[in-house]
Amino acid sequence: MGLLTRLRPTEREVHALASLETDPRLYARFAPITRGFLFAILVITTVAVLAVICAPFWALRARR
Amino acid sequence: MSSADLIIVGSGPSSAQAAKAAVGHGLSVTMVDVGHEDTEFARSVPDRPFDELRRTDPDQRRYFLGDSDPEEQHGSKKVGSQLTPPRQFIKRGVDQHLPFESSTFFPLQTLALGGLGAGWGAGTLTFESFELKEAGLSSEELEPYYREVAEDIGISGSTDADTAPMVLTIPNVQAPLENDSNARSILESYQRGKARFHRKGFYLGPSPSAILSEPLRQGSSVRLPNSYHDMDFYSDHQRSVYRPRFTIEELVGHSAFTYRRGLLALSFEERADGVRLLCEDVATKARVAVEGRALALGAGAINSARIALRSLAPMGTKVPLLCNPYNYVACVNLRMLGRPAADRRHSMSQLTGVVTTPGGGEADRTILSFYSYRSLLLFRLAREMPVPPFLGLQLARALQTSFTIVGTHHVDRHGPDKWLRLQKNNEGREVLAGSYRLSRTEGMERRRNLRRVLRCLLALGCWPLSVLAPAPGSSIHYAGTLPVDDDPRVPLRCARSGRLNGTKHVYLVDSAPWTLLPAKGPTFTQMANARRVVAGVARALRG
Repeated sequence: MGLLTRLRPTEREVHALASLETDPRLYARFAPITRGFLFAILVITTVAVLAVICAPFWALRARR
Repeated sequence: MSSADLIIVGSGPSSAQAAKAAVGHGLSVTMVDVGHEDTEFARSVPDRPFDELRRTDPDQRRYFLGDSDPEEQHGSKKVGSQLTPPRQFIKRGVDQHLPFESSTFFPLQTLALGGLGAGWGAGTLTFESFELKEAGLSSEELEPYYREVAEDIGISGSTDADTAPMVLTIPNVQAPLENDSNARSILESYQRGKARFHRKGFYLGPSPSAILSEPLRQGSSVRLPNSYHDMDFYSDHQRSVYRPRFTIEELVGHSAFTYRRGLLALSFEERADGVRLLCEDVATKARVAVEGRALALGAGAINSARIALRSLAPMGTKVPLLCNPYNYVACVNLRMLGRPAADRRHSMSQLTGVVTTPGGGEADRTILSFYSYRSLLLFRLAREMPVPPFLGLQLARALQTSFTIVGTHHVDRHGPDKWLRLQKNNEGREVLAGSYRLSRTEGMERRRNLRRVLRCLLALGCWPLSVLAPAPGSSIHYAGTLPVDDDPRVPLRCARSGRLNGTKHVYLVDSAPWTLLPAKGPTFTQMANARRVVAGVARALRG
């Protein structure tokens, strides 16, 4: 659990994301992905693979 | 100094209903309240659908994110940090005026006009007769008051649903609200396997709510049906979702009603012919006395106890406490994964589930509230994911239309490690302190119930991603601090009439007298009980 917590975004990163999300010009980047079940599974799988690859580097960055 | 027939402390759901009933009984009423209001957002949140605002409003950041420090805005884990910026006023002034210390209990307190009702999720579940009995109430006595409240505030729900005999036992309510795409898909799944779910002791139906599906006249204004704009966490447009301040605003025009804003009730003194309530003017710090023939404490179970302790007991005296243990389960509804969802929706609980406990007491039910995740924005989801924000965002986008939050409330009974007391802190300041720990048996029972909930969710096609156990107090359901006791000699207890033991003129109109807190949201029952208590006060005052 400790590692998972460390891998979560910092509050600064979350705030940056929140600021982008509330910019109406960027709405499409935050719109739901609704291209069907299989496409959603593909996205989830891709994110999971990338997250595993990134995890060591992501955990090493200067944080908190 | 003028003297009212009845002084009412607080302006929350119970106090508002108590005041309306008292005025109806011909009593003169003075309501004492701090009464903070939203002065920033009410006019700045446009009355337009969430998705349209997201696409078009360049000023949306202000009401979706607020102006406060980002760490405070998004980083706080304190109870109440989930409130959206337009609801943050609910917490204003609390640390200063209602100091509370505990390492095990983290209640949400308020000084807002409308009390915690200003941010209420509007669930209006009725207690069943066995729950009322164990709570120290009577179903025969309460039934007519449930109906009065329902007529007054407007309740929508389905009296035909499988859950109706357990959560909505009053007739003639407004038609149920429309469910959104996600909730419809979950309900269809339940309907297909209904017999199997019933064998598991699981029932599901539309949530009964104080949200209008039809217009309702309240005083001189008309409240309108929900517009399904999915902005209910941010604004009270159309006044579709009931807020206690609507009742206060209606009463303010009545000659028998006086609203004294800016006063914090501290303690009371009984006199031969009535009660003297001592208050602090929060602006000037001056002491102010308000006199009346009777006093109704409706400051909520925690703060009614604070006032009673300060008035009647030596420092350090403990009173018991009830608070529903609460979990929420983040799920993916597989039937909606990757599918588009209609924008038309309300933000509150879409469905209510009841899980009965085999071999447990009748009242030992677990109540589930199903919410679809939409208008709380994706960054809140991404922050919980152990991946870089860009990847978290893509995951949140893929899950969004299928994402379901299931709030899970558990029953609560008194226990040795659940209490409140007044004490001095290190700085010599008087604070209310509390403890809330489940017994080993309660903890095991709660975990067992939660496992049953997870099995039911899986059978519905909702795959649990994580189970969160927020800090005790986060259910925002509090009760049982001055419980009913049939022996009138026991101090800091009350009679079934609501009168506080050891007093002649002091009554409790909130949930402080209850001896059980069922897993159902208590607000509707508090309001009905407030009307019942006030009917008794009116009879007593008439002589």
